[in-house]
Amino acid sequence: MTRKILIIDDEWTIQLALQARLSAHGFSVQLASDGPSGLLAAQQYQPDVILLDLRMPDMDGFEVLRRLRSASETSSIPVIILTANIQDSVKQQARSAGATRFLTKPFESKDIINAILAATSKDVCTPT
Amino acid sequence: MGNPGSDLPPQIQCDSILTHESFCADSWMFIRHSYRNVRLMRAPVHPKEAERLQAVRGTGLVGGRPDALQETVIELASDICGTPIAAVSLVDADRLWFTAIRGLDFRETSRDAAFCAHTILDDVPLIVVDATQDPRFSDSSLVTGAPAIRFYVGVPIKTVDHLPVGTLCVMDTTPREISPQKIENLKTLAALVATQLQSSGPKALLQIGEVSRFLTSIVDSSGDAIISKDLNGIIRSWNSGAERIYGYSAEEMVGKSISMLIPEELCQENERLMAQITRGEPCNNFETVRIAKDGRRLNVSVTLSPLQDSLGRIIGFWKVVRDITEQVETKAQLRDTAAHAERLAEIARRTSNAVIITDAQGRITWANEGFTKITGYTLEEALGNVPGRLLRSDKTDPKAAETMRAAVRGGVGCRVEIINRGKHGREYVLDIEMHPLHDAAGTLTGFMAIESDITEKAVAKAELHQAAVRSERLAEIARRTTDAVIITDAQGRITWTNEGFTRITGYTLEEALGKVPGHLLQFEKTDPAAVEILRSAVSKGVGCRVEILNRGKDGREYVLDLELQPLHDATGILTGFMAIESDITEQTRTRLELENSRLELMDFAENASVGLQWIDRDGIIVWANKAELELLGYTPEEFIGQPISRFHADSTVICDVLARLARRERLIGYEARLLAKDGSKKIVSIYSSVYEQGGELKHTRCFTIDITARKEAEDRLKESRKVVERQNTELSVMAERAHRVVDDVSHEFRTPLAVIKEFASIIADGLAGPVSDKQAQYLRIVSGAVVDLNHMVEDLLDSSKLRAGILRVDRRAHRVDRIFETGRAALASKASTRSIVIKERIEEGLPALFADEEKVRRVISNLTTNAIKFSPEGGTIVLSAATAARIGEIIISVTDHGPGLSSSDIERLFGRFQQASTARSVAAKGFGLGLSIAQELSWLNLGKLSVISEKGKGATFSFTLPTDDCVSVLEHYFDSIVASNRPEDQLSLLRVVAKAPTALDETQEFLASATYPTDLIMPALGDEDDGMQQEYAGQAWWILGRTRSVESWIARLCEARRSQSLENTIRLAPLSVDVCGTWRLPENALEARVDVIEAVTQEKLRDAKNPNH
Repeated sequence: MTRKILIIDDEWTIQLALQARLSAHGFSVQLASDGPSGLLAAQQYQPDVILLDLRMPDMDGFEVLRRLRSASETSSIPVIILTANIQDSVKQQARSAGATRFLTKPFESKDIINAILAATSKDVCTPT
Repeated sequence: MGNPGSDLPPQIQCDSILTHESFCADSWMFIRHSYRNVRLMRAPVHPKEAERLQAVRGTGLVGGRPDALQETVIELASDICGTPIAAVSLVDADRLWFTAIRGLDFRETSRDAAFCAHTILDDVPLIVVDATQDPRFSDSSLVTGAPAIRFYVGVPIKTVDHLPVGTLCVMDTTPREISPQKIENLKTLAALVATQLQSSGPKALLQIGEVSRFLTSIVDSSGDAIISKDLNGIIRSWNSGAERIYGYSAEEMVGKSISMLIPEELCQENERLMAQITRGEPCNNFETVRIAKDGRRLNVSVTLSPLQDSLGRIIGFWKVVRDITEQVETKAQLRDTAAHAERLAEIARRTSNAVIITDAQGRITWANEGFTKITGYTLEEALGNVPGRLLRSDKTDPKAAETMRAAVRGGVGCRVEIINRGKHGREYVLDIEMHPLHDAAGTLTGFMAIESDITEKAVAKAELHQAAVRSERLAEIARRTTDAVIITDAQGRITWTNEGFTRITGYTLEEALGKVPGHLLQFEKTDPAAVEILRSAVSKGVGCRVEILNRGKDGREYVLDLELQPLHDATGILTGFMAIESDITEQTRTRLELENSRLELMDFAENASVGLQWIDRDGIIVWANKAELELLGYTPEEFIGQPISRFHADSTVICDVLARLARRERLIGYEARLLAKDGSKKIVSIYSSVYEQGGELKHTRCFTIDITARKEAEDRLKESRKVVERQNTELSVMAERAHRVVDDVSHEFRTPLAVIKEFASIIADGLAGPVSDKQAQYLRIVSGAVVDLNHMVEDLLDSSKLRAGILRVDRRAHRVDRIFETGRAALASKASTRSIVIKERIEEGLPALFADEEKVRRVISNLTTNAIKFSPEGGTIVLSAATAARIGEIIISVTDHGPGLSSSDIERLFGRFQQASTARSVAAKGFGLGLSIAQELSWLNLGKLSVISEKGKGATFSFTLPTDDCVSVLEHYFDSIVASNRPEDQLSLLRVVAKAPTALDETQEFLASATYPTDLIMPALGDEDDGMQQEYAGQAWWILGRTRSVESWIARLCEARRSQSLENTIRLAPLSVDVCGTWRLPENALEARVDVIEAVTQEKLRDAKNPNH
């Protein structure tokens, strides 16, 4: 079964690059450019993994993460943070808020793919 | 841990002293200062420690019972030295007991931390001017933590066997000096305490509180037997008086029953008396009979008083026994003499009786010559008169007159004493014996009165009464049988002496008879003036009283209070002298000692270098010493007698001072400003206490210390500190701002870099359509350049953080292969652009390392990036990890086959590193910022970066890391401390325990973010004191860090925790922080290394022994 990936990032260039890479890898990719539309997409689309940027206008990634975790439909979806912020405190904060993985930009595409595979392989209902 | 005081009450056994726990609620942190000082600063034990400990126990004071006399001594000591703290301590095996303490609120402490443990090792006083500067004490918990002792002077208190049981000591929280005179005073006080401990003796029977009374009673009645016995009548003490009276020695009697001394028939009486006292009824004095060793029955006067322990329970009896055998005999003799005298007087007077005969109506019909002699009336004049009318005076007792009248009326006899007046107005006392006269037929014919003039007799009676009073005095003398009584003839030659004389002088009556006492007893030390007084009294035949120093037969010197009275016979001729001599040697010595110590103390107070004044209850200065007057520049006349408020610059302050003193508060270091005569204001620190007598304020004693100079210096310092603080704040704001700019810049860089890199990689991977090999290769170069650029951004960021000292370090146990694995893809992709192969070699069985994984990877990455840069196209780079030559160390190396470095290149490269501050700002020859960052990061990982290279033969850059073993981590940490040239600092060891279940990472990451890169965080074993150990074992950490003070560090941790708990929605576990030790750096770095390693490994060892853990 094809894994569904939701990318929430306000940078369209990043969206495009990730879409190109992940689609080529056989993932089904859905895009969202801000927090509210990302949350909506998460509920409707029920992705296997969410790639989430932290710095976004209006609603930042921490808030999105908090809402994802507090809603029952999305609380168990693995969330991989992909951010340009490499500060340790941010990393720690993301962990405490319930992020599954924490990757920084610029990234190695292999790392992202490995992270997605690792996050979904735990899910026994989704055989590879 | 062995507990030495198992016989002590439980509250003393617990280890609560110097432990205080506080809970910082908003930051969820428990802070505990248990000062389990791991550094062993224990003083060596005393060479006779076992005997010494026995002596300590023998004082009966172990456990720190308060003692009134010692309280007085320490009050004096602290007043003398002007210190807020003074104490009498006993140094026990593991603990220090304060039997009296002032200025601190605990009564015991650990011997390890104690100054006094050192004091007892030497005969001379221990003086510590500033404990922080003294290597023996600078690490003591009493110095590093509360109460922050700086100054200490201790004088050992020794038993008669020269065993030091404890100390008298004074302490202060600021460094200070002490004059030799004060030391001498402290020594005197210590000797006083030693005497007290001594007299309290090894027997618990003699309670300390009794001591002064006991001593006084010995002095007051040295001839009395003083015996103590317990409730079973077993004798516990037996003094020399008892020995003298009963003839038994102390050895014979102590431990024996008192009943040995009591005549059989009196046993019940004795039991009744003891029962009476036990019921609380007093039994002041009674006379009874006792049996001496030689079988003599002794008349004794006994005083019984109960002996109580500190709780007031009766545990025995005091008995003061006085031999009154002589007294009883003298009394009997006196009684006989008086009766005899009376009889004689009667006989002597009878001859001159008046005889009157009257008719039945009482009219005089005849009178004898005696009548005329007595009354002055001739027979002719008296005839026909009624005697009563003729002779009555206004002093005549109407009752006596009535008796006589009634007798006359009734025709019966009577006998009365009556005062009459004679013809010449002389009043006289008559003893009238009146008999009725009857004729043969039995008819009353008249009366006969025999009248004795008893005027003289009455006078004699009065005299007799006086004689009785005198005999009382004699009895008094007799009672004081310990006194010597000498009777001499008019020439001063001894005619009689009593036993007391023999007892005091050693001469028997036979030896003394006929001698002049002066010749016999005086010697070269006898005061000539006293002798002269005696001689002059003898020659004039008058009395005198002198104190005189004599020498007895056995050479003993003693002081006598000698009362000399002339003796006269009835005719007033001097017949001799009587001398009553009391041995007042003891009193004199005590008095002299008291006088000397009084003089010493007065001199000390007057000449003390500290200002001292007494103020009465109305605020008037009643006394001031020299220093006080000199301080302010007044003469005694200008100062004493004035209200103290006149000399205070601030009226509110002196009002407050007087109000506090009125409330009996003690002032310690109270600051005030005084007005000097020259108009200047002196800032002084006042130490003051109230002297009370019978609950009434007598005066207050104030010590005044001039701190004007210190205060001014402090003010200047404060001012300049403020300036520095302001500058610091400004600087840190600027640093923070700059730091944020760098952060923002790097953040802004990253997104476009990511886009460039990813698209280059997507195209190169052919995901956007077919590309030629050439195009793919170029795109990978673009990709690699982006990674380089990104590293530069990271280096810039780290560089700025390193400079600000806030780069986070999170060291944990990691496996080398995992670290290699994580970085492999990025490096390989970079190397592949130049067809370079990276080979990895990891030694078999390599242990885990202890480091910040991210930093290790950055160092590997930076070194490999350089290696790729310098390697020929298609070359090989070897990345290896192996155990280093040094135990507990791993070495990671990156070897290239590039052009290599010459030794001068290396020197230039690493020479720069040594100037750490400039290293980061200057990119070393072609190596970029990366190498200097690598060097810094290696250092943060407690290792070292080095290079081995030869020109033309490539280069091997290596860095070391500690293995995951607490000893090697600590060794590396301390090496890094030694290597850094930071100025003076404090190193502290904390133990942090999470008090609730939490994600292991949460607390570890919090600690890493809240501490500095120079701090070390190591996992500790779970908190064994905590009942929750089963569930949360392992949730404990050691933290070792350098700060200016441990308090500021803990405050910082609390602050970080608070801000974290505000940011976080999830609940954080409360943390308990235990301060386990502090050391001064750099001077105590070596001790710190030993102590910390010991503390951490001991925990491990303990854990290994405890299988439950």
